[in-house]
Amino acid sequence: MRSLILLFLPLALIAFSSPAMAQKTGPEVFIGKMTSHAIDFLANPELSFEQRKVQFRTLLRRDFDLRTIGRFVLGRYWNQATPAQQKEYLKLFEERVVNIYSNRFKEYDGQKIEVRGSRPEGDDTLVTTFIVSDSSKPIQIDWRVRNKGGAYKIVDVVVEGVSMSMTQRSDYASVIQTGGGDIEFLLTSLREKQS
Amino acid sequence: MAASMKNDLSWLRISFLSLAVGLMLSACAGAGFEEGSADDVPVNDPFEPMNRKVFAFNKAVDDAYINPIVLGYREALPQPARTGISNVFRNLRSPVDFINQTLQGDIDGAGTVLARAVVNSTVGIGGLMDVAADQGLSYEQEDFGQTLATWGVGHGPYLVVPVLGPSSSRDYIGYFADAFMNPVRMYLFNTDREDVYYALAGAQYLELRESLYDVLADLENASIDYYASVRSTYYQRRQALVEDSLSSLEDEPDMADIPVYDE
Repeated sequence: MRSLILLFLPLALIAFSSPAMAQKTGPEVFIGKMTSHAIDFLANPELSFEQRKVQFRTLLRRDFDLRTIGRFVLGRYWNQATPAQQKEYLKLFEERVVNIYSNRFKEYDGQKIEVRGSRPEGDDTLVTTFIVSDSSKPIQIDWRVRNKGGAYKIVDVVVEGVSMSMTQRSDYASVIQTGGGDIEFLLTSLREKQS
Repeated sequence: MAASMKNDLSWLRISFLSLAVGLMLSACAGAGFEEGSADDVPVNDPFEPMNRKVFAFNKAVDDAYINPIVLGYREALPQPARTGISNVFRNLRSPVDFINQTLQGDIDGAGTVLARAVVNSTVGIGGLMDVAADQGLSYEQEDFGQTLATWGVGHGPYLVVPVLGPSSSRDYIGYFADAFMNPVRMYLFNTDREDVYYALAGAQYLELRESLYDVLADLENASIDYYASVRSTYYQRRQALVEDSLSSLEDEPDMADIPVYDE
């Protein structure tokens, strides 16, 4: 019995003094939970594509600030849009995000996500993670996390230095400019993409 | 011997010519940013109509030739082998990375390149294995475009180069400067083995395209105007490389500010 205690004591000490445990900040824990939840439904072989899509939408609505992201992506055209256009745009935007990422579910092949650390970025926190797998080089993904009334929300995803919001903003701006500055042109494209 | 001298000279001439053309391009199109807000990627694309044509041409070349080769390469070699090849190419680039780190005044960075080259060329069996990365010495791509950027040279106009793809007048000059300063190229040219150099450059290009295949497919899938998305991605990625901000938790890259909107 005593030998058992002697055996477990050092292990317990190591576990409780582990600096990694003590240092995890709120946003890091949040991102860790979000990504492991995502991997859970991606890796679950019993779920159908549609079921995964439902899970993904739930996660998206819960952990992402879609309104802020959508508005940022529309840039200066947000203020030019009528309230009705803004409303339709946000709905189409969510649909678009769900569709884009659902198309990638099949790419999941056992990858894991490691939370590496975080640093302040203005009033937000940038949490650095790496996607690691046996089959490719690690990919750096930074999550921009904002504390909104006590709840953490993701407001941008930065892949290897490339902001997804920024890229989409450039994309949408170009579409609207091609249409002579009319936001209706973008809405039409988004409606077409949806069907 | 004489032939290789002549070849080297023609290389020099091409390099200077492209340098001159590039500088002219930068000079004749200074301002003219498209976007209104400070949060937008500062795009400078005065040749957009021509660039879009080249972009469409490149897409056709990709679909017809590049991507089939890339997928064949994937089919033929498993990931560990491909990673090994990629590591060898990176190791061969060490002199160029080293010179650029030094020109940028990044002495720590130059030391990292040197340590990586020594460790990987020996323990890593001629660069096949990136053992240095496991020791915390991770790879950073450094090129003359980035060096010019740290010297305060702006991008100049955005360029879509046939086959090579997105670039800017600054980075395109950098591309030739890197090839010009590359000791591997000098050695092969001086020993009448230009063909080996071009074969190597071609293989390196295909390896790069293999690593970008999924990223580009995803980007195209996510875009309405693929051209605009690629352009934005190019500027952002180059910015991150210039600032050496990747994999570093201390440095603060110059990021877009995402405002707090009223609900």
